[in-house]
Amino acid sequence: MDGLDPFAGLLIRYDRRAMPGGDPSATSSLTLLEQARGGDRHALNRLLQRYLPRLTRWASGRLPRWARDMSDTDDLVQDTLVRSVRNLSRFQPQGEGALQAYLRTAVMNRIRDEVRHRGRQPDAEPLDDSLPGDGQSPLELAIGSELLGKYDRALERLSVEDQQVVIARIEMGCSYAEIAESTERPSADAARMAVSRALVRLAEEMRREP
Amino acid sequence: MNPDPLTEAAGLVADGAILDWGSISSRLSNDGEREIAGELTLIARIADEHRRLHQLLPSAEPTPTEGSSLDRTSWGHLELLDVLGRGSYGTVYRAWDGRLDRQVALKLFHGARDPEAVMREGRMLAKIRHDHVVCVYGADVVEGVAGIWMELVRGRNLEQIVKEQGPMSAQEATLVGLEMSRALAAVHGVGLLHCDIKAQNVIREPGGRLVLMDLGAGRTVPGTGDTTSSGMTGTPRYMAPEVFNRRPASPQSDLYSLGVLLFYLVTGRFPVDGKSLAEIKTAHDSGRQLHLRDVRPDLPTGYLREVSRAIAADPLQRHHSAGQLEAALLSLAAPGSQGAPADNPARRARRGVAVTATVATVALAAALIWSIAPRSRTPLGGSVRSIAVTPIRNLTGDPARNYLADGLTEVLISNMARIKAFSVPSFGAVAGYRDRETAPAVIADALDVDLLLAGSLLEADGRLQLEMHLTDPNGRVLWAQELTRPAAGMLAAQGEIARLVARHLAVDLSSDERSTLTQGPVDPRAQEAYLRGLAAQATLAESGAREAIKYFRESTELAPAFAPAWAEWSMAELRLVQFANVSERSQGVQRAKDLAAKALQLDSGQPTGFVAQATAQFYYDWDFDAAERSFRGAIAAAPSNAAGSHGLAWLLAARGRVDEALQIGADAVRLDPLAASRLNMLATLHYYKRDYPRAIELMERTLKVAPGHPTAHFGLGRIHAAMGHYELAAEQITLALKRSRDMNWLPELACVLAHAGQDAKVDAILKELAEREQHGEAYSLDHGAHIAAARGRIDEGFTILRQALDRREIDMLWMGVDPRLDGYRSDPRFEHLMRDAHLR
Repeated sequence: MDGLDPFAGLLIRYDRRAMPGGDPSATSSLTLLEQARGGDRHALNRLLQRYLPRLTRWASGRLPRWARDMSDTDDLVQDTLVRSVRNLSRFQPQGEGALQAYLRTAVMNRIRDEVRHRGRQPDAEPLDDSLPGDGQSPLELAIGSELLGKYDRALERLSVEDQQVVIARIEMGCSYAEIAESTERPSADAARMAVSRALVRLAEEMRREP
Repeated sequence: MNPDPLTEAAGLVADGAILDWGSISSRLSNDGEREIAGELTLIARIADEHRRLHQLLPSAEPTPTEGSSLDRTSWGHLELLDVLGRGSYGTVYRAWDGRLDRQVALKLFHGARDPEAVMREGRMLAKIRHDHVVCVYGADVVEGVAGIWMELVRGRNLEQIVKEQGPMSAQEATLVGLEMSRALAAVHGVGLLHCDIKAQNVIREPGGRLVLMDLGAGRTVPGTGDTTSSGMTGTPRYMAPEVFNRRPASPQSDLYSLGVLLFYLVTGRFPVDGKSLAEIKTAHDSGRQLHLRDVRPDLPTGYLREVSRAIAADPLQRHHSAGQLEAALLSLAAPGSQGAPADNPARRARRGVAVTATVATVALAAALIWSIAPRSRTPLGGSVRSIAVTPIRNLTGDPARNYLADGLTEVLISNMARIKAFSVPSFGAVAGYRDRETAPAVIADALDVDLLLAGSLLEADGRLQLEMHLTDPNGRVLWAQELTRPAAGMLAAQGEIARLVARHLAVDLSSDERSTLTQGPVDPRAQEAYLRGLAAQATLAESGAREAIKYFRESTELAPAFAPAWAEWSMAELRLVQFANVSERSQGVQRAKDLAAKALQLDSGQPTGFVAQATAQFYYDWDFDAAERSFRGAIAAAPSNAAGSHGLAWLLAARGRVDEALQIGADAVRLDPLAASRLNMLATLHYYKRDYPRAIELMERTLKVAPGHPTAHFGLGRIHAAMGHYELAAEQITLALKRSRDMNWLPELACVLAHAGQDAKVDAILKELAEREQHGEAYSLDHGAHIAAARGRIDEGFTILRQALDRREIDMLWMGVDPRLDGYRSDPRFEHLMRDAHLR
């Protein structure tokens, strides 16, 4: 399998210092994705470079304390991204915003798997039991798992377009200009309006839950 | 068109602005909208938390390199992926090595005036093969641009770690210092200098491995004729004062930087600091230095001393080499050395009475042992080295791992003991030094050994890292080794350490010894069960024996070919037999014999297998020839197996060969000088020899090693009784009974009181014995014969002795030499008894 799979050799370990903020080159993520799926390692690396830093920071809010070590988070996110890109042959993202949302979902699922898996292990509590909330992520601790769960479920019920802009603005900290570019909107103002409307719809969905 | 108030509020939430929810709410028309606004406040909180994630993790922020775009896409066979960092010397790239299909870090020296010099340096760097130094793969000049490519290391640097987690403990920093001095020794060893040791240049990988980075700034050691003093290199706060003054860098200036690193790790500060290069230089010139003791007065003196030495302004006062610094740090890591009390009055004063008292006790014991066992190790061969393995320190941070550290120590000791050229104290002798701060010299004296083998255990990513070092009594490191093994290899690693120590001491191993010490991997769960069994075995109670049996059985089920588990199981069964009824004994003994046979079938030199077999043959089968062969087998397999010598000494005494027994018994005491049971055995042998003054002396020493030891008080009572000092005897036996109202000591007291003519008390004791017997308690029958003799009823005594022999009472084994039976000895009936017991 390894010899035939162009991605196998690329379950790489990034040094965090290798993460520039933005990608100065104009090549779009979708082009890179296309090239990466064609087996172009260089394209895959550049793609990862683009999404890894943000998703890693995001994931650090979603991982429980025992897995919150940044290097752990790095590994988990990187590994998930490489696998997801590989699986993308079955899925054609509509725009770069969709790709980011897709990758976020992949990491979210991976974190859930990880939590379930580790929770099953008998030695899953090697950490200090006296500290409360070992099993909770920083976001759950800050907001409460019930409320965060309500938000997550409501978000999943939104349209794909709304999900993309909410995730980009609220969760990934993208600028309105970036959102405009990745969702093919004419201006930053238009992007801001799209985010605002999506947030109202999100709030309405949240209200529907008891 | 103005957006509705909700959308407007949502926009402000998206902006991250601060909202006046009261005024927003007042503009909403109904409760439904107000509820939606309520949900928006929740979304605002979620957005805030995310903003915080993205802002508060500076290490995840973009690197400040001005633009990371590639100025080229390849260099030779390497495909450049992105820029990791830029500096005055050139640029570091992450690159893809297509030939070997791996990522590498590539350093290109764009502006190098002499590319060939870079290449020469690269070739030398590539010679460094050390686990804690970044591995340089190659160097080349491509189209006039020199480059060096190397291992791509990931992880966090020590500066990040200190900033995130705060200053380290002295122990953790000592370990960093140890690994970095080894790394530096490797760099200096090929004739290079590092020139830029600093916290940012030491990376800790997720698995815990520390790697010294950035060798590119290195310069060839002066004298090997290359580019030196081509200007200042390094980071000002870490730079040695002489380098500031444009003197050439040297190994000592690297050691200075390492000293600054060790200062920084425990404080987060620097000994010489300033806002600019000029300020730092002024501070150096005026001798302004922060003292580590002032910042961290809690640190062990040893650590303060070594760091101060490393950062001495005068290079000549620093450590002479990285190796010397390593040795100094190793002695800090060694048990009890962070400021040996003997040469460290300040620390002793601070720690107060407790330490002084401990040292006094050990020193006293040492003095006593000195006179028992004069320094003659000739019986074990002329070139024998005596080595004490002190308990491996558990640095995993998990106290539940203590059994692992102890178990591995025990396994290492048994491995070392199978090398015939070594004499190695048993685990019981060294267990007292666990986690104790005792100076190596004191341990070496107390145990009468030439060398000490100490170490520590770390665990990372399911792999165990063992650091072991051999020191002389002055704490000087003679040999050190680090082994990282998956759990499955941890027992085998102990054999490997024994072999490495033998090799270091130029001991030729026989092929038998070598194969004994070369174990294959054992199922990790079987090892775990085995080590837990050993821990349970250490408690002498019946429950401990039962628990041990459970673990050893589990271990043998998982790893049927693992001989030590069968042997220890056999010992545990014998331990249990001691608590069993007479009727259940034969079954337990048979089981123990079968298990020992299994162990010996798997490993014909399994010392514990021999000891278990011998114990069954001696105490239960009364097959003395076989038992003697088995005990001797144990000693031959592992000359320093004290249990073998201990058992053989008792056996020889039973067979009437008291002089031989005394010699062998003295061997056992020499191997385990601080074990009360061994001293008690030797004292009893002197009692059998009728050398009462010597026997009393040894019993009293037992009591000094183990104050209040009831068996020793009982022993003293027997000796005084044999000397006719019945009052003293009664006093000592009463002391023993205060600790434990042992069924076998009560008759002895009765006997002494009978001799003293206190018949009323004798009757009271006999009444207590009879009552307790009715409740199922038992005592050795032969005691009745002692009382009968004391009362002059010899015929009754012979009847009792016959019954005792028929019951195979264990005490009857020594009837031939026991002074308490002297009253029967001239009677021909006694000879019959001796013959029937196969003791004649």
